[in-house]
Amino acid sequence: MIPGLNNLETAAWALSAALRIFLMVLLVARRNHLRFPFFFLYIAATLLHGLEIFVLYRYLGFSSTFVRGAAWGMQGFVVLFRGLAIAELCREVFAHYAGIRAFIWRVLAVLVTVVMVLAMVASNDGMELRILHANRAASLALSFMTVAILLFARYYFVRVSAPTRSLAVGFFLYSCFSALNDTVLETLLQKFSALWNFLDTTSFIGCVLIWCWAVRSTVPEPAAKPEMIRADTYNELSSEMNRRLALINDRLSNFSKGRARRP
Amino acid sequence: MTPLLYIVCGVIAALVVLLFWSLRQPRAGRKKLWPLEDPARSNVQYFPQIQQALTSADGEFLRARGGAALARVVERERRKVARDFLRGLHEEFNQLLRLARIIASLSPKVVTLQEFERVRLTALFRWRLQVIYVRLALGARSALEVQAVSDMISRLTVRIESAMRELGERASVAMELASTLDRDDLNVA
Repeated sequence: MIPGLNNLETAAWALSAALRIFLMVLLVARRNHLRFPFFFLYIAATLLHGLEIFVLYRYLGFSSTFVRGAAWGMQGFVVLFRGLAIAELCREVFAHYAGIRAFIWRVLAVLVTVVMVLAMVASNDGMELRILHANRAASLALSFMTVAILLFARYYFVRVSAPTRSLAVGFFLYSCFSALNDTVLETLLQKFSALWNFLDTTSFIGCVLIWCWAVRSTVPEPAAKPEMIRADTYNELSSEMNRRLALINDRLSNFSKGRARRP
Repeated sequence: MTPLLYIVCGVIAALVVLLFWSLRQPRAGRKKLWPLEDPARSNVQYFPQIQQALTSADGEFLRARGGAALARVVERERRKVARDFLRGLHEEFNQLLRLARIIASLSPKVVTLQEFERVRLTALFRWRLQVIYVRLALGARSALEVQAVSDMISRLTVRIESAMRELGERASVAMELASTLDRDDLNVA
């Protein structure tokens, strides 16, 4: 048994670790680790993080400052890999669309930064909770990022393959749960701390199951790259459309203000 | 419960709604894109009849000859026709926007400001169209502005079509892709 954890928590922890190992084997067996290398590394990082915590808690206990620092430090790497794995989904979805992909990268970079800053600003000022705040801010930012990728795909009529969609849903659910869990832990710290790890582990088990389902078979390669149009075609049509849309809106605005006039 | 917890819960709820919306299948009944140069499919051609239906002189004539009750019934029916017409215009507008998005997705370079500008203008257009619906429902006779909107959409359609002709074969690729949208989404993946 792991020190400090009851039987149920230990069972959940062991099940989570076993499922992650199974997922990694599945990724390699279906050769999906080549399509999603950062996802593979993310799962490996979570496994290493679990192992690190096990060793630290078993031999150094819970109360040491060093243990807390090491555990949260590794958690930072895990969150970083989660971000990279989600970015990889964006690359996968928009692989053939260089123009909108570059545009979406720019938007996502701004979005993630803004959400991180807002989430940190909205946090309490307690020094001891600063890492928790950062973890929550990152989780919220990654939730936004995942939804934004799917929204952009819908907006530009880009089809997202079923495995990629399932991977995105798994990341979204875990990021949301993580943000919520951190907030509850912060606000109801005393009552909730015993449950925190257990809920975190069980939510992660749910997401790992979704991911296992997503990569149960080899993810098909994109069929072919569509023929692209020239950049000046876009420039001409796009600016013309925007100009006309602006004119239409001016007309409608006049109507709203009751200043009807002939065109 | 603290305000922070409420905020985080609210944000997550909004994200879940957005996720479901983004994963939703496209509507089965989505209208097939018709060629932009096909005037027979455009709602703009019906504008003279709509204008006639919304003119106050016509309403006064009806009231004088057929009585107030009949005029009210006819007025209600005409407003319904005007609303249907506006819905048709909205559909045409959406079709042009879809085309714009496909052109953007097939372009090797996209201008960030133009993309955001289009989103802003579309949101404004939809909002103002709703205002027109409400004003129509409240009895406003908006023939002039309906004509203005109708003309603008018509000119936009013609301009895009002629620009695409000028741009030749490359632009026709975008049109062909646009016309297959109701069969399948854009991605070949």
